Amino acid sequence: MADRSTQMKNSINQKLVETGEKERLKDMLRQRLTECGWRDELKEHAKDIVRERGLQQVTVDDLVKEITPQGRDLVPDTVKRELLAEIKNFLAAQSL
Amino acid sequence: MTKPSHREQVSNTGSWMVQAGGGGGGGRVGVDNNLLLSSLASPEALEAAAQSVSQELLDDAILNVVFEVHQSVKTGLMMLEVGSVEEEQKFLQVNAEGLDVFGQAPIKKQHECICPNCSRNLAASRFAPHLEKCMGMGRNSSRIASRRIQNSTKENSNSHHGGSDDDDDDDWMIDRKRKRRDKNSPRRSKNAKVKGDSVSSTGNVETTLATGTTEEKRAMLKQICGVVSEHTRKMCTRSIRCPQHTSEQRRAVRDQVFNGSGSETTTTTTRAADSTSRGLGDTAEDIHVDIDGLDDGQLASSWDNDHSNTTSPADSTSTNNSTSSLAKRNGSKTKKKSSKSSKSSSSSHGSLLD
Repeated sequence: MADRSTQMKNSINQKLVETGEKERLKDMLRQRLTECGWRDELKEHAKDIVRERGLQQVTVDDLVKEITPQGRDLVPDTVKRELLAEIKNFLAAQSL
Repeated sequence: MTKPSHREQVSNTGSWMVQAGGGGGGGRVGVDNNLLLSSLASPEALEAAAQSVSQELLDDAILNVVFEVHQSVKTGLMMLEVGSVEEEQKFLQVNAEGLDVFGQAPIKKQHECICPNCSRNLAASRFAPHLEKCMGMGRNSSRIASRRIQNSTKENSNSHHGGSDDDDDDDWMIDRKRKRRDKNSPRRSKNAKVKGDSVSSTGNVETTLATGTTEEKRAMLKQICGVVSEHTRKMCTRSIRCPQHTSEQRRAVRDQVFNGSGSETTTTTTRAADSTSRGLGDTAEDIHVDIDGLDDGQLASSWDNDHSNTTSPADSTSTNNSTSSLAKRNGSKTKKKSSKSSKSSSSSHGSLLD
């Protein structure tokens, strides 16, 4: 049996997908991140890693592993706050 | 556990969910919903839930970036767009003073080479022509070299006067140059070949006649025809073998010049004058006569003008000649001379002819 938290996560996720909220949130996040330049920064970082590692040896998993921590740090607070607010609103609306 | 009891609830509230999930699925959803409702009551739970959701969304965005970069790298787009590092560094903009943007000096430096022959530093563009001249190969190099030699020898001959071995060599070289030049330019008159003192121009003729010594006049008359023209009253300055005038005319002129006798129209009278005036010097003349005869023979038969006449043609009198042309003249001479006073000479001449 799944953990309660995971269950909860799954349910939330599903709800998000079903209402189409996830998609909307995704797009919104992508837009915000591009506007603030987060995307380009991360891309540059990824290219550096590729240059270091060599063109042929690089894999998706490698890149993901390398980039994710920095990606998470680089996100500006405003974007984070906005995202969280949106999600909360949605959940609140859902629970109603 | 509560699944069967809640089915009805689900069916009432979330009919669409039932349709989507089916029997079992619908039940589960219903459970989750309840969980959701209960758990989200607390703000911490809400916060936690929100965080997790945002995290997930973020991961998704990152993945998106990763995919994009990875794809461009693998398909070679990255290479095209960015290029390799080395190339970047090669073409970086140069900001140094005195150099242009590419890092080049404003004036192109000429490649310098050292000539193997003369060990001089030469510009590359001038290297090939210099080698031609230096080594003496190529079209113009020999001409230039010979001209240089000529110039240097001319200077030497001008500066030194008098005989030394070098001067002789130089003279010989100069003569060779002169002769070669004349060969190449046939338009040059033969008079120009005369070495040293030449009096071929009319100006010189006039002055020599007026002011020159006998020797000078003789020398001059050795080279030019000298017959005075009726129209212009000037001496003919053509060569000794000038076709317009005969030897008799020339002799008459010489007599006039050197002896000052009056008429020159008839050769006989001049001949007479010659014979009378020359009676004293006959013995000497006789010796000369032979030579003169040879000279006259040469005049008649030889075409080469380079031989210098050691004695003047004016000295020649009626002579013993074996040539036919002059024999006729001698014949006429002897006939006329027979009437003259000096019979000895004439008789001797006549006997020879007979």
